[in-house]
Amino acid sequence: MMRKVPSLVDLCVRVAVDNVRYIGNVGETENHLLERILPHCTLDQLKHIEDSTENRDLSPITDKLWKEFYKRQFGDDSINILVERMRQKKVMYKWKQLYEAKLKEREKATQESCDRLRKRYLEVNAKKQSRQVQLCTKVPSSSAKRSYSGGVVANNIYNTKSGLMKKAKIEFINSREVKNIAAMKNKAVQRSHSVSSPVKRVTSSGPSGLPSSSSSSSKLTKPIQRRF
Amino acid sequence: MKKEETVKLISAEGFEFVIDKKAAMVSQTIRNMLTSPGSFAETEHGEVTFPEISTTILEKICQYFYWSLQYASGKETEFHIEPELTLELMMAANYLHT
Repeated sequence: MMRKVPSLVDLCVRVAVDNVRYIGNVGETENHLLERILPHCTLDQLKHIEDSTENRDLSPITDKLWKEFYKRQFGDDSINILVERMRQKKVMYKWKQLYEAKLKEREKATQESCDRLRKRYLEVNAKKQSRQVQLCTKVPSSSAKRSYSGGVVANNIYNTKSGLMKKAKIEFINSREVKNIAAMKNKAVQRSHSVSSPVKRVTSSGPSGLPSSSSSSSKLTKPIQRRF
Repeated sequence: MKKEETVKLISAEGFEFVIDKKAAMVSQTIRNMLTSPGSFAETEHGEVTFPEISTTILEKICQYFYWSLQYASGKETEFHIEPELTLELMMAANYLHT
């Protein structure tokens, strides 16, 4: 009894399918044979074969394969939209090109999202940093403190013999004092939002500072009262 | 082997394979060449040249012919094909209708 002998072509196709990952240049292999083999490729394998096969356009066979890859990756809806668009414009694009274009688009969108996210993180971090206590290398001079407290100011005023000068000086200091107070108050408010203890440390220079600040306040108010 | 019962298959490199006519007839193409009355020069000398088929591939094809006869007569074994030969062998087999 004669059993049907497998043809050599069939045997070869079987081996080719089993080894499709090793196939590169398919040269002049006939279309109908490729039709049997290429559907067994993954996306990367198909791409490799097309890239390796020079001087030959495999798209008569591969176009429908690329369409299938597109569908799997981007969904039926996307495909239907594209098919409709192509029909309206009476253009036919190769599915491989459409796939690669869509992939690029997606990658770009993902990259942009990542960038936005990273920017947000940086912004939040920067905000936190700005509220932190910054270490100064320069210690505020005691004379400056006293000027805030009004000590130096008071000296200047009391040392002046001319009334006009006195008045002028008072006005000047008042304006600066007011500005300083406002500034210091603002900073105190900001800092009180973070840690409270640093605020105390910064605004007062320690136990020695306290009496001066208390005395300063009295001295501070005096000129104003005198003024009015 | 009687001469009348053999054919000579010649590869691109000029290598000559002498095989049984029966084996060669497994290929539809060769069968047509050898049986078609007078249209092929091959029938006179029992020689067929294949300028596009390399020696290695032609050898493998001859092996297939014999394997095919064996298989048809009941002895079913596996015909092993080296992966690196696959594409070329496939194209030759396609051409030879075998």
